[in-house]
Amino acid sequence: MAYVESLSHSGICVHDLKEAESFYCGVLGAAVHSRVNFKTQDALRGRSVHTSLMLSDYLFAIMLSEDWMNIPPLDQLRGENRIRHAFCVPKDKFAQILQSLRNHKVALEGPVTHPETGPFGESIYFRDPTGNFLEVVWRRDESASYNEVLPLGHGGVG
Amino acid sequence: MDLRRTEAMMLTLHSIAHVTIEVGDLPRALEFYSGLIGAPASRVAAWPVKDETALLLPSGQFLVLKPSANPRTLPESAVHQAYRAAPAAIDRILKSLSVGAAGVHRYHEDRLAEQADNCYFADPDGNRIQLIADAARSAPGIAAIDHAIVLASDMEWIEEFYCDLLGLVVEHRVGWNTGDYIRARAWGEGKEEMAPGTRRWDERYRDIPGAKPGQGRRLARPNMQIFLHTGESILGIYLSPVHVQESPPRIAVGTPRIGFWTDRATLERAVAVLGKTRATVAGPVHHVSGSPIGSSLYFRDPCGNFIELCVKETA
Amino acid sequence: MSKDIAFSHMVVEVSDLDKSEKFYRDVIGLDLLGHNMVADNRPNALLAMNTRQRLLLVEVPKVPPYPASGGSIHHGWLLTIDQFAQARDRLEAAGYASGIDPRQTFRAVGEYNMDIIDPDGNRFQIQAFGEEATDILPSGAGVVSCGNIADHAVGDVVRNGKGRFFLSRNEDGYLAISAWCTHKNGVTVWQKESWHFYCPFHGAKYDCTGTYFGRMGCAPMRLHPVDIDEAGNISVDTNRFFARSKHDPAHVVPAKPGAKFSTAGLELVKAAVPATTSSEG
Repeated sequence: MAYVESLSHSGICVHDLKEAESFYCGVLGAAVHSRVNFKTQDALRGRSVHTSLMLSDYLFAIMLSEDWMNIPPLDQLRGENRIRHAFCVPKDKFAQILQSLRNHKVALEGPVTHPETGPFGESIYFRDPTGNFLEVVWRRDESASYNEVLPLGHGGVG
Repeated sequence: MDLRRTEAMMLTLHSIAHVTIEVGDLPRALEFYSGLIGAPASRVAAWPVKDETALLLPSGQFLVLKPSANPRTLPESAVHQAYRAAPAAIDRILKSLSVGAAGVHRYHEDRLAEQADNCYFADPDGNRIQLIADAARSAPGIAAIDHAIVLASDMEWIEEFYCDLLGLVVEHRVGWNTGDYIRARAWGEGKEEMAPGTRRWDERYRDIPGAKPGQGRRLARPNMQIFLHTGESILGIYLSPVHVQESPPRIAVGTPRIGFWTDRATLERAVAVLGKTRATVAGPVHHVSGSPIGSSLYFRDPCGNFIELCVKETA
Repeated sequence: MSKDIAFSHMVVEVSDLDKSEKFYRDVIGLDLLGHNMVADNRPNALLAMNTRQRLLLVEVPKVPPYPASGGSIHHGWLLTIDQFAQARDRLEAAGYASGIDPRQTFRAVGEYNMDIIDPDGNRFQIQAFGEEATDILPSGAGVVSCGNIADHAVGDVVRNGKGRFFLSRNEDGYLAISAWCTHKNGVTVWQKESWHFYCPFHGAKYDCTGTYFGRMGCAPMRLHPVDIDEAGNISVDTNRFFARSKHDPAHVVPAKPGAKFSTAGLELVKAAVPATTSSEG
């Protein structure tokens, strides 16, 4: 047993909040959880602008970057810029999500097949509009019973 | 405001019908705005609201004055009304204004449509006026209302209300893109004079993360703005960086107020859609025959702004 | 699609796989599953958490620098309360400062947090949430006197600090609204300019009846019973909390001498030992 239950959230930076919301919600099915620094109260507290999205059981705090970030050229579809986030779908839904990404005109690389010795089956690699690296995988261990992920609305369940 | 809307609609608006502003001294205001219009004040007879005085503009829109002991003009804020006028008319107006050159500002704005030279000044009560040069106009003074700006304390809910619930479309937004932050620095360095409310300093927003007021340097940032298509006009909503008292939540009719021309079907649909939410609504009110507005629906948006949907009287 | 998709794993570039592997295994507390279990030519290690989630470390010649304005880029580990206590010990033993959380003032009751940085500068929060985040917390002020019905105009909302409630008078009468945010026990404030209650912790907003509006699914703010005696003097019983699924005007106490609080349809959620009547807080 590990001493940690799960990863609950990521703060990632984007160049355009509205474009990021449209991508994560429209293409990957995320839902808006909350928005910060869209209000007078927040202006007085000096916080940065971000939208928290729930992508299924994971919270993405999408932060608006106040400077242009160094992003690898967008024609590189697979990689990391320090970090890559990977989401899994059931094996029988993998073809569907691949098609859905193509329908949304998202440039992607793959599928790439992983060794059978590990928990990953196949992956496809793509990027969000800012250029953050993303991956969708199906898992060889999808029937294994692990602890349940407790979705974390920012600051706790709900 | 219930965010989980049960129904949405497309609010079909034709243009701003009127801007109703508060003034402290009606005769003084009438003289001032007559000067802007370039003709002796012609009050509209049979204006539906008794204590409001409406002036007709060449475009068919109305500039309406509401006397008030403490006029809510918000002179330090982003709030303003913008009028289109021929360049020659603007020259005449600026020469005749008693504010003097110091009272006229040549700010920049964020919208592309406002990149050309604009001038800004205040009426005697502090209502800020923007004049936009329009070579297609020939009237001797202000010819049409181009846009009006209101404040919001919550840009998230206000966009949900106007766009998701009422179906208005965003023409331009500021503050959601890294480029807006880069541009804001020019203002912070004194290199670009921007209209009030488009940029701001926050005491705690500094170049050292987690800095307390006084530590590090303040960073200039864009202030959130959304511009909504309202037919031929624009409704602009700016985040208020300070708390400004809003009208009580259960009052639907008040001033300052912005009216929009729409059709009867839209008005009735708005009644149905707003009725399913917790929005504060009054009407539809059918005005007396002969009034330039046939029917009105009044409501208060989630941030206390008074809006009116106006249908012209049918023949 | 959204119900089929779930978070699987995070891939992190590291400059020294051996060093980072030990950090994530021994300091963060993940299980090391093995090496080269994925389709990647670079040296890599896969680690596990107790859910299906995984962490993949890949060794690269040079980890790119953090973006200049990238201070917000971070990730959060979620632990149980017991695991959090173990993590605190582990971090201290390994020499990591697990001291005061710099954003403690932003945290609500029951929210525990430590910040840590990995060998390549990746920033993490280690978090746990205790049950006290949803406990009902009596103030201990007991039954509080709140002046007279002649003291308040319609629209007034008066904060009672000691009693941790707001006395709100609307057109129909009085509500005594508990100040605890029903999300995670942040303490709400009354923002009079915009006529709503606001919780600074996670941004929850409630209208002047205590009804939540937003997406976090919060229940309406809880009520305390309001009693008005024959002389119009108001008292609020902070020992008793009532939960409701939605606002009902029947729970508003009319601003009249002798008016009583109706508990019909309300759920009594806490009945602490009554204290003696205290003076106005």
